[in-house]
Amino acid sequence: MSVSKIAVCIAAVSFSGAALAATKTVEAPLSTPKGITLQPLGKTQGYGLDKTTAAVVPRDKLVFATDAGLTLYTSEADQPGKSLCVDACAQTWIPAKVMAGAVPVDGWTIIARADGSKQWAYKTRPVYSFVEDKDPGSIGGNSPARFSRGEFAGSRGAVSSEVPKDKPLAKGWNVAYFFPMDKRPLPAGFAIKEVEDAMGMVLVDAREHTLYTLDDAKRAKTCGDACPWTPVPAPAIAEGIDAFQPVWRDDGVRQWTYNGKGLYTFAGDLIAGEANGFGVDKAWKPAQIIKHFAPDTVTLTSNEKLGKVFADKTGKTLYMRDAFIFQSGAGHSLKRGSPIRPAVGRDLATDPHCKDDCSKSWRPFLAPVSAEASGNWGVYTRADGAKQWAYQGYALWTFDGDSKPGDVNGHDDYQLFMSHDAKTKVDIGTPYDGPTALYWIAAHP
Amino acid sequence: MNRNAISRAGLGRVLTAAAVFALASTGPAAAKESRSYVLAYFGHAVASKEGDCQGGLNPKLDIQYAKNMQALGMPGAEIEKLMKNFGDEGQSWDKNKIGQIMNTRARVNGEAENTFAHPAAVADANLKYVTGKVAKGFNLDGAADADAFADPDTGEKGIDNQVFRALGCVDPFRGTLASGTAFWLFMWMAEKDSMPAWLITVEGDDLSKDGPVDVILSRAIEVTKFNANGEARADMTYRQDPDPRMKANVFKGEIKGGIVNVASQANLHMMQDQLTFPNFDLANFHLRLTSDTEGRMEGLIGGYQPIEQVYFALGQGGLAAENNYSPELPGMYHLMRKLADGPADAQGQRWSISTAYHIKAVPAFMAVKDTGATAKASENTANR
Repeated sequence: MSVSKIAVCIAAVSFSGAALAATKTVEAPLSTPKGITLQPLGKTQGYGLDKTTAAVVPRDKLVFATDAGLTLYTSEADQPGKSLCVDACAQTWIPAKVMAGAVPVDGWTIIARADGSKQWAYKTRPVYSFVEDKDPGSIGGNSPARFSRGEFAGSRGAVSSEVPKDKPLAKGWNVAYFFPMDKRPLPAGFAIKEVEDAMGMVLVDAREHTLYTLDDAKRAKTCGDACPWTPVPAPAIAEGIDAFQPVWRDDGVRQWTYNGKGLYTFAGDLIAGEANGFGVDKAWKPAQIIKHFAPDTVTLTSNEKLGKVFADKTGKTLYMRDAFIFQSGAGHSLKRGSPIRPAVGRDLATDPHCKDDCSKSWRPFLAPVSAEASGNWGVYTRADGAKQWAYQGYALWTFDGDSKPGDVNGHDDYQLFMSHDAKTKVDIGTPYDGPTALYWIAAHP
Repeated sequence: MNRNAISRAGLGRVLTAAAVFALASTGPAAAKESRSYVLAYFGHAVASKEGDCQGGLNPKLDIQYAKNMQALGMPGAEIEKLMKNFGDEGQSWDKNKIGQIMNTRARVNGEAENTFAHPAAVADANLKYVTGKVAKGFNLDGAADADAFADPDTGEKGIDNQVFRALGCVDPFRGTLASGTAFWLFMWMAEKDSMPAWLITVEGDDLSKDGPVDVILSRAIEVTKFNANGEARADMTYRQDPDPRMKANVFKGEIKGGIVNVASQANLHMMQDQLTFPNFDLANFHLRLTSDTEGRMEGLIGGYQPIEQVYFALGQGGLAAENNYSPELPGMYHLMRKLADGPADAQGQRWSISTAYHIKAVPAFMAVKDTGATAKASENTANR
């Protein structure tokens, strides 16, 4: 299969439990249980209109957060598996509640508090939110709006997540970070990176190219001469580390395995961060160390214009409504050409602020009544009581103009907003600082 | 993969390697000859001349801002004190008092609001506009009005280009086709490497001869490929974006004397870039392209464009944009409203304005996926 053919093929990857079970794969653990979300810190939330922040500040840290997006903390005073924060302490540091039906996932356990209630713990440490945090992306009562360029973030705004020095986090309390992660023992040349298109933390090689595991070893022999999957070679003197073991193949190549499965690179991945092999062949999967939650009704489709985008069960692309942000250098049409700003998504919530009646062609991507936030996914309750899925703060929609999987005919659909008289104030539901626009953008991991 | 046989006479003589081919089967081979091009430059069509702005050019920012503060009723002494520090406020917004005042000089129901989102609520600065007699563009209304421009090169009368008239007395919008304008040189440089390329296809029975042609504008999935000198590379291959929003851009035209012409009553709808025109609409779409000996195309496109689109391209950077290239963005808005010459609505308001853009294009291969019949240009809407 040529790279070009791979690039144009349209594939759908289901996240449903049934589909995954059929492959008899050992699943990577989820990053978050039900009711625990992931949030970027400070300016990467997209607060304010300092154009150099949301657009260029790296999302260098991700925290665990409540279903409302409030940062979680651990206390050095607690004992493993036991919370000592009670009474007045628990009024300031709110124990993270466990939702009905939630089950522990990687590193997460449920502990019993002294009053009999249940609380989440991460790596045995009970987790809490802080009563003074009001906005997602806060630390120690400092709203992301305070993480301004210069004073708290360095003169060039290059650091997003330092705690403001004039209001430090209370002594003995620590932020519960998802990323950076604790170091894990890895063979030389391997690393763990977040690969968005692979929906989680994934093994990468020294070039930071995504690695894949092969479920069915027999497939390697039938892949053919133009096989796009290349075994990850292990040096002859390499020794195994935990789940990583080198094996000799029949063809004389020594190959790394992970959890007993051969590791491969994919010829269609040309640069770091790509996961173009995801969905091309069900036998090969990204070597996820941790995967992010996604609703059962969400799939990942590919198209030649944008690559992987989220879709519903039928393959219909999912969209977010976003607000214009000025960024010199353009490139907004490209995938990830505009920064994700969860705060803007929350401002708009389920109201797309259409100039005309959007209900004619844009439809909310509804969630079941039982849906709860987890990882990057949230749930909004609409005016009629129905629930609507959201991704990184942005409510999700489908577009009637898409007729088949891979269509992204609503991507970049813009409406300009400016006032033509001295009586009408422009209201797009989120801050702006010039003639502005709202637009639809295909949702992607 | 088919490659059309190409005559090398007439238009074909100067249009070298480019041809259209299809990735997907589209049925029996078409008899028409096709040539495709990729956009290599885009900017306002200008023809500034010494003395074409009666009373000189519009003032620089510091002078205009002092006038604006006067219009806001600020005392002269306070204005003088503030303006002593003009340009020395540094990067700190807290210290940029002039910027803060100028950023909210709109008054909506008496309340201070963002200047650039509410240009009509800012006192008209009565900027100067081009009073000269020449401009590049098209005679869109077919009339040789006394107040219309004449083409400086051909002498053609009745040229409608009110955007040039409105912006042409502001330094960064002045220039010639040869020089370009500072505004568009910056914008084009900023977006050319990341904006999906525009494709232009000319189809006809025999492109070596004068006669009717179809001119099709579409967009590529890739961006234009440039060489190390920043020039668009010829004969590169682009995949046509199958997006149906741009499928209606098929226009009847003709080749006359080796020049491709479109004088349409239909509307062009393209998508460009957030930095300038997320949507780019031209009613009464006109096009005139001439090829050179290397097969490159150069010429104009024009029509009536929504004022909102033109203003968005100028003003979406807000105060930063005003500080970079304009003495008064709301003033430019007021000028465009006053000079608008597009069709009037039921209330007699004109919301579109005649304009022309200077474009260059180089031969390209275009890979087309079979995505169904091409829509009619009449299905387009000008004021999306």
